[in-house]
Amino acid sequence: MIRLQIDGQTVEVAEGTTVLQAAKQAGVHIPVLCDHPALTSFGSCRLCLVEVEGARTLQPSCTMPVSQNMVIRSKTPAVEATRKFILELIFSERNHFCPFCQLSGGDCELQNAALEHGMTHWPMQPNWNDFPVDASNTFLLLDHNRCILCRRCARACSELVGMDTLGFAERGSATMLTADLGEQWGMSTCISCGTCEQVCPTGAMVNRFSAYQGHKSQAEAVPTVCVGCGVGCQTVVYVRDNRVIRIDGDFDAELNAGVLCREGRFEALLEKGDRVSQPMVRKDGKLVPCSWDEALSAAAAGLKDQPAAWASLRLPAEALATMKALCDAVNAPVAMIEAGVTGPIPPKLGMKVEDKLGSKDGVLSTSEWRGSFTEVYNVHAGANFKAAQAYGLTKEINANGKKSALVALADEIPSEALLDAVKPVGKLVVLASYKSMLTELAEVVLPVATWMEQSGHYVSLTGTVQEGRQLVKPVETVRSSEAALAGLVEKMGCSVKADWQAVLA
Amino acid sequence: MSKPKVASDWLAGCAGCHMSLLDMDERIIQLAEMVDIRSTPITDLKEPDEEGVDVGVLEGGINNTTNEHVAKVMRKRCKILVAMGDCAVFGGVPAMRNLFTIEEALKRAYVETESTDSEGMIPQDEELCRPTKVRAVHEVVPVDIFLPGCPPSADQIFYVLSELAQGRIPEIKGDKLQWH
Ligand code: SF4
Ligand code: SF4
Ligand code: SF4
Ligand code: SF4
Repeated sequence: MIRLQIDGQTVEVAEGTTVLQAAKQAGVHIPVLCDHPALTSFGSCRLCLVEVEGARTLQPSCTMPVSQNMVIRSKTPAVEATRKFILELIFSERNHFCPFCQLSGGDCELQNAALEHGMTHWPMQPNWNDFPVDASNTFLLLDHNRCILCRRCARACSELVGMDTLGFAERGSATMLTADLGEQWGMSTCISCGTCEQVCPTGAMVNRFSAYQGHKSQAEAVPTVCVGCGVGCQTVVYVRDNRVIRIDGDFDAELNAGVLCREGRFEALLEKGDRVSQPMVRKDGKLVPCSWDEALSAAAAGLKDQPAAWASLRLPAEALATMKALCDAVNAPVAMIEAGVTGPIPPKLGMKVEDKLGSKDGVLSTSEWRGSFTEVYNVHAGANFKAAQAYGLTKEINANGKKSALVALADEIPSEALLDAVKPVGKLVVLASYKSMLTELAEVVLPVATWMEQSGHYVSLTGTVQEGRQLVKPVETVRSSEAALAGLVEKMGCSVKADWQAVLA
Repeated sequence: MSKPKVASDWLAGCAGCHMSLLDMDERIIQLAEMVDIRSTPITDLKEPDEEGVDVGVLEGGINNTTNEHVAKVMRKRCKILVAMGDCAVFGGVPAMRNLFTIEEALKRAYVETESTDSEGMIPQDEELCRPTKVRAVHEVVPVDIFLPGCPPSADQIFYVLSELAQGRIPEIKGDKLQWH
């Protein structure tokens, strides 16, 4: 152990700890811009300079390892003045007119640092150099005018994601962030995982899906789990006024450690069509709105006749267990709705999953990506594939001779294959969040929650049972799939007791 | 002792800072009791007294020769000059035009805008002031107190003016400091 003194406090830390980490352990706040706990220290912004007794000049605490009996001072007038000067230089470099910046007002680490240092103005005005904006990426915007060249993004892309898309061209004040040696970002090897944007301290990188929806700093941060595929990444979802405004990766997550993929970070926020907001039954050939009671009675009556069933793997374990128990009671085979392929998954994340599984295990594959030297991963398993397997759902069922069908589609869009499998069966009861080709065919449609409107558990491919939290409230006529299925159980008069945990244990 | 005199004016801004000043609601009466409000763009007297005022407040950046003149007059006639709002402090939104030449900006404004008819032309009258690069007030005259914000809140403005009225120099930090 190394013993040192920081601002008069004595701390003991392990060898190899940096001064910045030691300060954090001692509860001493040192401001940073380029440093990030999940990335290797780089020492480019110099905001974390401290006085080290005996050293000739101020030293960057983020890259300096502790040594025995070191004496550190982090708040002397010289340190404060230098930090302010560094901020002044950063502000004079490019364009930081905050009123028209998306991050201004709480979410920008640069602005926050300036306010923390009591900066009321810039003694040096900016250079008035015009920098380009790269708007070629479908999910992200890159405004070089706000970039402070801290390189967090490039380190994240290489260290956490494994794509190495981002880098830097030129030197000194001509330095520019580039994708693939000067390619347009949207045409580059970028897989739009958004990890770079999550770590960017300024408004240089903007998440198009969450821009101008409200600030992270003013939203509720809810830890939950992605239901985009079986990897089961842990997320932090920002919610404001019953709306999800953005999804971040959880840096504390053991498996994904801050990283997500395009599906989990961005596409999960897409509306997949018009919502089903009321229960409906078919009368004279047309679907008409009705009460839940009427819809459940019609569904129960319809399913008396030799049913077959399909369930989405985006359903929580609770709903899947209820579905299976109900189907067992009425002697209906249940198939998993095939999830399709999710990808590209960041190579480093894919590799971790493969390592844990010991092989690709029929659920992972790799493929080339836009001429990149790195192979990306693809996942061929839905979020609750493992739970569905444990409950005895099968990939395919023989629906020959079946006369009615129960499809718990939830917030999926039905594939051609599913439509082909269900069509010949006949009387169709669908639990769906969105109107689709399948709801068009149905006799009864029950409006159910999307992933963000319900809570429940998910079993990841690597076997972790994780809780998905309800993030927003649906309209009153929409129920969770679990509640809808429980209603159906009651109407059908079967005595089933579904214990989602028992089988998984 | 007579009440301290306060004068204000607006330059290249949107008037939002003065609107924010008015947004202090009934506290404006309290303020009027503490200070003698002289010239402002929203009252009849338009120029600070020649004998001088104690506090001068400027909103907006400096984007032409008239603004330069107004800022210089205010500086000369006040003891303490406050730059109020992001435009006065940094250049703010108007400063976006600094990324273009003045010719480009004028052409866009007077000739190219969608609402301009075929006669669109850049005003040339010699009586008119000359546009310049947009500058923060402190690039043209020395500023004593910087109150950033787009706009600064009524609370911040009240705090600054009431401190000055009581002969204290306001400390712009913590919840009194914002840039947006
Ligand atoms: S990146 Fe930060 S400092 Fe720069 S303009 Fe945006 S909010 Fe202001
Ligand atoms: S989105 Fe992901 S892959 Fe693309 S540049 Fe950022 S970190 Fe790299
Ligand atoms: S884009 Fe953001 S993270 Fe990347 S170097 Fe610029 S400021 Fe840093
Ligand atoms: S890898 Fe799967 S679980 Fe992770 S973010 Fe992507 S879709 Fe979600």
